[in-house]
Amino acid sequence: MKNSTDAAFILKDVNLSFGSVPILSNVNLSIQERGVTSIIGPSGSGKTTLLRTLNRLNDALPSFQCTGSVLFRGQSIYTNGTGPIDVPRLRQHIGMVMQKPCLFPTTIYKNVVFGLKRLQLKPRSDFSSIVEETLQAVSLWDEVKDRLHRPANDLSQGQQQRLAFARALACEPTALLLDEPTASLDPQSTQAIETLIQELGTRMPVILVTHRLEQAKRLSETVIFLSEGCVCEWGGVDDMFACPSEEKTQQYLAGHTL
Amino acid sequence: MIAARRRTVMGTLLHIFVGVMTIVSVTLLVSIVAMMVAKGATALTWEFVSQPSKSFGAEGGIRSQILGTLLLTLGAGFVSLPLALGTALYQTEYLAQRLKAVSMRFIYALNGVPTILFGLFGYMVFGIYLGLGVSWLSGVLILAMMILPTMIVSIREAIEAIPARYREAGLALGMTQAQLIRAVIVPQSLAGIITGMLLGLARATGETAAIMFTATTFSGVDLPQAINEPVTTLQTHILLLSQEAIHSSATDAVWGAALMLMVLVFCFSLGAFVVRSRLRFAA
Amino acid sequence: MTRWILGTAFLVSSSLAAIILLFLISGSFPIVIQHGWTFLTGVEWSVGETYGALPMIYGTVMVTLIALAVALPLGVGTAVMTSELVGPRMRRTLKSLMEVLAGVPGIVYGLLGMVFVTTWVRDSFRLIDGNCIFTAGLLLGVMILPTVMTLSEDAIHAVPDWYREQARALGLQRHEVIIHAVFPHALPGIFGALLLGVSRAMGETVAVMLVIGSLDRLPAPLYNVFAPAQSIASKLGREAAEAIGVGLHWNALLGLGLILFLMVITLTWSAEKIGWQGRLHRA
Repeated sequence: MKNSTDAAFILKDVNLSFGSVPILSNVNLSIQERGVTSIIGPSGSGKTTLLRTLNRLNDALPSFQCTGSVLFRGQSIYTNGTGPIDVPRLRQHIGMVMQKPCLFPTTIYKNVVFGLKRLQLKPRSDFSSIVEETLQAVSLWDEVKDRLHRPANDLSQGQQQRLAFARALACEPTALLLDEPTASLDPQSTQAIETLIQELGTRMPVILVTHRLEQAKRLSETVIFLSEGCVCEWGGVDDMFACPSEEKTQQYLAGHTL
Repeated sequence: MIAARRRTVMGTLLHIFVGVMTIVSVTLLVSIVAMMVAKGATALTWEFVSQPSKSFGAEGGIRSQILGTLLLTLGAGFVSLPLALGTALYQTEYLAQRLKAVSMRFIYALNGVPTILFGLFGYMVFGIYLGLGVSWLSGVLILAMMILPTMIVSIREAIEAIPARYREAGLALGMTQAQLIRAVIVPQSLAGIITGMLLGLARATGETAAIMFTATTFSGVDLPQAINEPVTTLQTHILLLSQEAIHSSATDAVWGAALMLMVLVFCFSLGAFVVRSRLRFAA
Repeated sequence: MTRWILGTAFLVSSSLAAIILLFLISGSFPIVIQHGWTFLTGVEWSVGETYGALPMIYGTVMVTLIALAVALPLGVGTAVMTSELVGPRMRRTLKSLMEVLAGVPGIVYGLLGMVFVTTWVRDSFRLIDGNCIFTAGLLLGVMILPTVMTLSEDAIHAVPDWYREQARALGLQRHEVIIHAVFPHALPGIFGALLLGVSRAMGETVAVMLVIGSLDRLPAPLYNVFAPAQSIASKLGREAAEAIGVGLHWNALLGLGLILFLMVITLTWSAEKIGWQGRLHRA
């Protein structure tokens, strides 16, 4: 197993639970500073819970508990000897895109700068150039440049999801969490987003939850396989798909036609 | 066979009972409105609405009364809105789960307080202890207390109806709780906030007991020149005229004033109704 | 920062009910010390001499019971009709009508009661005077009818269709479905609606004040609902302005206020306890 010092996230003996119901136990992982890491596993295996642990988005859920240590760039994000953790700041560094594009009922333009404006990361005069850049990056610019001030909810599902990417990227995150971002999209939008994910993976750690094994195989360098409440196996994508060492992984992979 | 007959008879009886009750209820309530319109419509001329009253309401119009009612009501809304919004936001965004139910119990208790008791309390506390006397400001504060629960509950319902994914979208961008409130929670519950405000205003507009000896004098005043002067309102004007009127013109005036009051109340509650059904956020 | 501002608003709103209660308790202290139990059991109220609250308590209870007797069949009957037996469009119309009519101000009911209902009651029951417990109760019953109806309808409508389908699948007729499948589940909500309506009737001031006859005496015989009487709220409405915040008279009025507060709060909290879901903005 890899154990590089150049790791963005390191999880040591992490246990996640809701009240007394354990979700994942004994999680030990490290996630590289560059590249795409996919989290796969049967539904209900805790993929999303694990992902949302990394930016502490589970905190809002009642009775969520996380023990062990989760390090982001060497710093613990749950417990800290010196004082409280600045969770909003942590989340600013870690962008996230959800399964369903959740846009605010306002214009396209305002959706892109939604975080930017509130967090006051950049002067207002830069906004229009940032909007153009990020929309270019998600290859949405040509489609919407003439209607930036129209309601975002008029866009197609695929366009909305790319807009959600733009909104996250506008805040210049240094890591990215993706929760099945293409699960409800048409093939064309999926293609555009997969290209984007690969491009982003060369610059920052991208962690992708997906139930499509072919997508995991196509996009990622590392794969984490969750099953029955723990990390069953994790490692390089080629090793994993070529000769999985665990029986459960074999069964799971065999059950899916690639 | 007999059992089947009895079942059918029971069914018929229930239908008849329910039908009769519905007809009686609707007739009663509609006839109240109809009667008010029939009695008040003749009195409610432009002159009547736009002229100040003369000789203790026996002559002249109800201009000052209309404005007085609006002054009290809008003042109460103005004081109550920030309090209600703050309370609802604190309850939903900061308060520990197990304390929510307890805190709501106190809000329900406040909602149940008979309005006359707000009058007694306000008379003493605002009028005497704080030295505001019988005044517009006393009335505003009393009504603001009174409509607070209506507004809190309405705003709270709207906030709780915001889908979790909107919150998460904001949080995932790295917003603090305060930024989230300003950027997501308040804009997304705007319809509920306006609805609550209008329902509160409707309630304040119809209220008589809480203000009749704390904010208003029955006659002799026009509009207040300062916030510590008394006002005159439609509600108390009706109360006065209905108890003392002998002139037939004053009797017309009382129906006109009552119809006007009902129109004001209905404007606010219909407004709330429209906002609630139209301005739902696109979920 | 935001947290503290919102927290302050929250603290103010949550403590208001308790502050009013404390105000009433401390204000009624002198009368309890002077009169002890005889304040509750005394039947004589003459300012400056003796203060007995029993006639007012009795009047309040009687008026409220009559209001309940009127609003229960009408309100629940209409609710059943609206929820179970008419189409969705008719339902919407009836609901909107009721919700808007729930806002008709108490003073308007008072005016109508004074002009029409008192004479009608006098002539129909051959009384000397139509100002009596019965008139006040009748008026309050109609006044709380829209509240009782909409809240009961909410409760009935909230029963999942699954229960209706089950019952129908067993071969039950429409009325049997209502009685056996829907009603048991809606009962707590209907109960809550009634309690809430009743607590509103109990605290109503002006509508009662104008038609109850304002006589601080127990009716003779006790069940004589056609006798003039006094409720706590109407008593407070009549005399608060005279007592002007000083002397034992004022303390006695606050004592009455405390009794009313406790009666109403019991009803409100019972309503909450038995499963009323808290839709204050319709009440």
